[in-house]
Amino acid sequence: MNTTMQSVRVGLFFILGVALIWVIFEALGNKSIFKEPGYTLVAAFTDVKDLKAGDEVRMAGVKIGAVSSTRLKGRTAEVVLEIVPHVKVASDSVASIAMAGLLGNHYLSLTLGSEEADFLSDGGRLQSQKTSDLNDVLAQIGSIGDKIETMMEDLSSSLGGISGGGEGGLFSKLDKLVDENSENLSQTIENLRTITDKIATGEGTIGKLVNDGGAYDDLVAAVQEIKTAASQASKLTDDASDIFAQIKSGNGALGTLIYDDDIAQQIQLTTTNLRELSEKLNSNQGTLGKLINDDSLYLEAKSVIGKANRTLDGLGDQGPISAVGVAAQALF
Amino acid sequence: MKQITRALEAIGDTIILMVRSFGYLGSIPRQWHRLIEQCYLIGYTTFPIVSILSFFIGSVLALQTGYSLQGFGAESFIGAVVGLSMARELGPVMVAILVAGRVGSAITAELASMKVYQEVDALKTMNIPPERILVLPRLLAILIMMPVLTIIGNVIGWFGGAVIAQYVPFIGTDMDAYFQSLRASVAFKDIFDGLVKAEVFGFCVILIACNIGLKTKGGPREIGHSVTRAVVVSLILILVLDYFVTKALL
Repeated sequence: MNTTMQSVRVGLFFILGVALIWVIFEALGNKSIFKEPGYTLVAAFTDVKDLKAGDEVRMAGVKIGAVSSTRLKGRTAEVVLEIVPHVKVASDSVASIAMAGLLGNHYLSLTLGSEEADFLSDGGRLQSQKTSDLNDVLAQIGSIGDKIETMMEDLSSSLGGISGGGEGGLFSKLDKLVDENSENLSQTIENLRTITDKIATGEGTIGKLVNDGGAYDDLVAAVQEIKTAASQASKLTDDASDIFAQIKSGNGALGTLIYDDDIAQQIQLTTTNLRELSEKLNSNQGTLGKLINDDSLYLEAKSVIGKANRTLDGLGDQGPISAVGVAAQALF
Repeated sequence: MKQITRALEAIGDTIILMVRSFGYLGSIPRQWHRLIEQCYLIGYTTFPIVSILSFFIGSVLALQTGYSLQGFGAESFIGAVVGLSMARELGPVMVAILVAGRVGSAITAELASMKVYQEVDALKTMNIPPERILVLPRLLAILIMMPVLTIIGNVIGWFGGAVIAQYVPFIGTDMDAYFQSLRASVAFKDIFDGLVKAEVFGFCVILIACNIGLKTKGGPREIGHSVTRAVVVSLILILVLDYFVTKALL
């Protein structure tokens, strides 16, 4: 074979290979061939979960380094991170372990931290934060499930008897109650039906009330009257309160009577006199007392009147002369 | 004991051969045509078989991964699996095995027959060190061609996987998603590690082939034995080195 041709082919082949390497180098985003030497930071956790050397360290989602190792130190688990040199980590940046996917791979997530905070230097310690992973969430779901189960058990025991079993269950009690009182219940229901029938057919007061339009009108009228009465009553009370006000202020007869001490004394005197008078009347003292209590005056008066009667009868028989005589007799 | 001595002797011989060969590095401009010729034989003529093999390796990888992952609904990871497997492991190893079988055996056969038919002795008589004109161009050629073969193998393997991922009904991942997944998972470091591995494998294969060829003693029958030995040793060494180189590069 021609040597030149051979050289051309080898040259082309070689260029093809180099070009391919270059194309792949450009196409793949991660262009670092050798690991850049960075600085290390340490974050302590109570549990580093599945985090292992080589896992990514991301700040706000951007890859800034890798986990170089995990180790136990005292009662904590420490993660040693290697951060690329050009990225500065703020001292108040918080590290947490986050899940990269459902397959269980994790990465270490750093927050940006505040602007004014200092930057951590080589060997600096990061603040860490516990995050709940799938296991914690599942454990919580499990405990919720337990609670629901307990609740359902309580409910089912209180409703026990749905399937006929369980003494003391709500349904069995209801069942028993209905069984024992079935006669009463049916009687009650019968009565209720009779009552509702009557109401429906317009019998009785309620029935008429429900069915008769007139009853409504009467009711409205009654209410109207009650209203009027109430307004009058209110007027009356107004008047009464006026009167009371007048009395209170001492005006008028009643006011004077209640609030004037002179009147009170006079009344007292009067009643005393009256009592004395009635006592005298009772005790046969004085003319009136005797008139009331002594029968002799009455008997005398009676005989006088009888005598007069007889005299008048005699006069009637004598005519006018007698009348003159009587008159004279009376005068003399 | 004798076996161990022989193994150690072979290792020592190989290292001495390598050191001597690189001692003549200054002579390369004068034997440029030899280097080109070896590049042609080692690289260019191996390209078709590397392409075919890589394509089907990638395809089978995608098929197996897709079949295994369909139970999890994780077909979108095929790109990542095929991409990383080809770049980090299968690409370099398969190319190295092909080189051992196709090129290594040819070199051993050629050098063994030259040795058996005393051509190597004739060169020595003419004060031409066989390491300079027989070994050095081949070693340089494999160093130049191995990355090229590997990267071509990788790309063709990825493409084979993409074809399978798209056109096999039960996988049904389109090529965009496949390459997205591949790009997301494969870093250039993975490719680079693969190329470093391929370089180490290729270099060892050629060095062993040259050494065994030049150490052949006896008649034509020994040529066959040497070829068999060269291929077997190369294959074992590729797989043993694979572990250590991978571990070193992680």
